[in-house]
Amino acid sequence: MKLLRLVPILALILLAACAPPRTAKDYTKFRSEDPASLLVVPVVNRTVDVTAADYFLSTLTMPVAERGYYVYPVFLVKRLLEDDGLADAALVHSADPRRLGAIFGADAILYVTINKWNAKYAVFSTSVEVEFDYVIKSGKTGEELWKSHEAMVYVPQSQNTGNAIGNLVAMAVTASMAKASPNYMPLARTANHNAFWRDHQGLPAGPHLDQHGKDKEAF
Amino acid sequence: MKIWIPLLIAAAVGCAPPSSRSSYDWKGYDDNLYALMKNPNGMEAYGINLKKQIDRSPDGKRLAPGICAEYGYVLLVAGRKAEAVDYFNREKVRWPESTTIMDRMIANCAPLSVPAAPQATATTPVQRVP
Repeated sequence: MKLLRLVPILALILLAACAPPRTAKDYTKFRSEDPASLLVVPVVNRTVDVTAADYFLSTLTMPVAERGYYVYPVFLVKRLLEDDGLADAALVHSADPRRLGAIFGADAILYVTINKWNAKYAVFSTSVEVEFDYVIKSGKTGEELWKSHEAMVYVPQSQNTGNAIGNLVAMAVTASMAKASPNYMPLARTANHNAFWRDHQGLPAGPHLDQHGKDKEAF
Repeated sequence: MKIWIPLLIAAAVGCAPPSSRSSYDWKGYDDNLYALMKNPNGMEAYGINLKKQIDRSPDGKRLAPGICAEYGYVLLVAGRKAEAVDYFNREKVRWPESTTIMDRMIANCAPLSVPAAPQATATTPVQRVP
């Protein structure tokens, strides 16, 4: 199961090389606040797939924690917010970040919106598309500290990678994607990885990593 | 087709993402949470898997943020308040960043329930179960 999940990720990495370069982000505000803890709040879902928000929420803790931040337990947070009358993620996103920061003691809040999470079915192939917006706001001032936009499309037919192994990976992905309900999770995980880990784009190393404060050339 | 997959992985390991330098033991975490999101009634299974994750790191070094807190919440929902407090405290000790919300959770557990008293839903809003 674990191995199967890696296959599409590897295929995407082969494709990632041709992504256009992005301009380096400004980390001045982020650095001056230097947050140690991130509150991941429920995801706003702008798609028709009602399950997308909860599924996607389950993928966010690991990549953020591995960047060296304390991440609040997402399920507990979701339940507490529901109990507080904030069952709707859109309400949470429009609430004052300082209020959320104070309730949980969080330095910053991570808001994620799903713009696309869909599959297009054609005769010979199914393409899968995801698109996310990530925003981090200060729990102290409410100001935006960082944001990222990630879009990924998986199109089996265009997967001629130019080498035999790459093509076999693509075929394996095609087989797994062609099922009745395509699995979006590998795409979601790859988008997260890109959002949080890329130099000059992602999150600087947090306080729980040795590189904390020493990676100013990359961020 | 399936027999190819291990071979492909072996061939492709060279270009794997840098996730191998993982700070924590996450084994099964995302699948566990995903399963709970799919089936919100699956709290018991979620708790069992969290406990396994906690037990794998007796010194807490490889214990990921939020795991003890999440397990404490499962215990709280199940009415096991004293144990819940124990795990909320463990989260606090391992991750001081959680102090504010863990203190709030611990306060929600007071007064610790007498075993026979079935007042789990009356005391605080936190204990509501769907």
